[in-house]
Amino acid sequence: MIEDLRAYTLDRFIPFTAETYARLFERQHAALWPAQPFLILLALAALILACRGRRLGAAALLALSLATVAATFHFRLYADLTPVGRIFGWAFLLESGLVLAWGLVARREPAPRRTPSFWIGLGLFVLGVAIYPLLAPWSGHSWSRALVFGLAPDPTVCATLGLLLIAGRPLWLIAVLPVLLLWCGASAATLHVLEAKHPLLIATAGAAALAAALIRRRSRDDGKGPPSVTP
Amino acid sequence: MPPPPLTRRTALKLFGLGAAAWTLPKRLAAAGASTGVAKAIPSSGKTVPVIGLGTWRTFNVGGDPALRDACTEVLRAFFVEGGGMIDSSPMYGSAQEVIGHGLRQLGGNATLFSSDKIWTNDGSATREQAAVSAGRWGLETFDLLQVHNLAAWEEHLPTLRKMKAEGKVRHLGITTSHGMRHDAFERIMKSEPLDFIQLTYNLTHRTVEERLLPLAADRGIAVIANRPYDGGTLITRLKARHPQPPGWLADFDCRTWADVLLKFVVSHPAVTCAIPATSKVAHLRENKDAGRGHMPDSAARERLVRLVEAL
Repeated sequence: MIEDLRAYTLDRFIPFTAETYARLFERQHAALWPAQPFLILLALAALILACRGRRLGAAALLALSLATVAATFHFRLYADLTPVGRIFGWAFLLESGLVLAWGLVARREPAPRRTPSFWIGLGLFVLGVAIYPLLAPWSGHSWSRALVFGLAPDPTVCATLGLLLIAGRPLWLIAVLPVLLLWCGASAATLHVLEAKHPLLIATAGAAALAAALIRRRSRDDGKGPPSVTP
Repeated sequence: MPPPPLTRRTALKLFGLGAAAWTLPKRLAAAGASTGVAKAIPSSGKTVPVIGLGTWRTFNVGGDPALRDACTEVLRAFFVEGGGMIDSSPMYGSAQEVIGHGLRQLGGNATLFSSDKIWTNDGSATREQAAVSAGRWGLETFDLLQVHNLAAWEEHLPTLRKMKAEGKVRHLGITTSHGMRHDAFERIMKSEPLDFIQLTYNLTHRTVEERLLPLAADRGIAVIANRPYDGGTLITRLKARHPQPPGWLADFDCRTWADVLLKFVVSHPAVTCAIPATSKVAHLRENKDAGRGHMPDSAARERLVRLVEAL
């Protein structure tokens, strides 16, 4: 029995090759060009709104990005390879709704302060929007395999975590995190099995976001954080 | 626990049991390529080349037109090199549809030995799933249907036997992999009439040499060996230590590590064929080459085991 359990190695749950997985992004780019620059602009607009405390606007843009990933990656491409694709498609749509709800609830909060979690969030946002697209060419692959915010799940999740931390409202932030962190774990495991470069990048981003959210939550509980307006 | 080394007595016994299964290499009239060594299926007498084609991961390319065409080229090369068993499962994502796409492009092939699986815990869904799978391949019937990982085997096997009696499938069997559920596997082998078993067998996973392979030989059950490269990790490890196979293996026509690993698997007298998976034509040809020429004898097999154990 124990030997049977040991036999359930991670690679048994990844039913495709690294080449097939990378081709998903090539096909997505080919089908949706020239949406990519507009999605980057959308991410920058969300950043500006989040920094100014316009959480509902930022949340709406993030929700749109997550829904785009669900429709154009998970349902349209990834679900062809594994049932997990469909599951995460629905999870990303759920997350899209949660982020929108977070924006609605937190829309009257004061503008974010420059706390440590703010800067961690900004780092994650830069990683998702500016650094992720460069990973493919840095690794010797073509630009057609670049991971772009709003299309590929990893940079979108990374930037979303960043923006939530930047604009964060701790209690709700914890509620919004699980789907995003689940993807961080699943993606890291997939990339590890496929022997891709940087398999731990997305896992590290998820761990950093969780740590920052918990630290911020604790500091607020200690009375060191910004005053709450929650009744 | 690592399996004990193959003793001379066991090797001789197994060799004696399996020697009759060998047939002479044949030539494909259409392609003019050597099919290599073929072995007989004990229950039907039909022969299959010892090197087949697995499709786990490699043929699951979804709707990607470029990768589908690449898979079609692999199938074309497979048939040119002698064809034989192609194995898939409903568990392998889009692999069945991609095989079907390739077969349609190539206009089918008479050398195909179609092997698929029943993979559902719904014991009443055997016929339905077999029909869906056949539709994806573009076939009327399969040469072989196996109960995948023993899922609901108590219900599926009787239905498969009825289907075989009705001419809706030609052979039936059960599968396992990664060394799982060997005790249950052995019980089923002893109690059920089977044409085939499929299990993991390679130079680092030799537990099946103890009981399952001798039992298969004893009961006249054909054996399909999956994961002959241990998912690719074995070749990587071997190449890291020895970029080329030792010179003494040249006596057995082993030019590459792929030759060595595959010849080790299919030279076991109880093994009917191996099903390495690939999405590359060059690798397919390399795999097929391993099914030609001399096979390692029992002394060479023991030397190989020691070589790998020393890694």
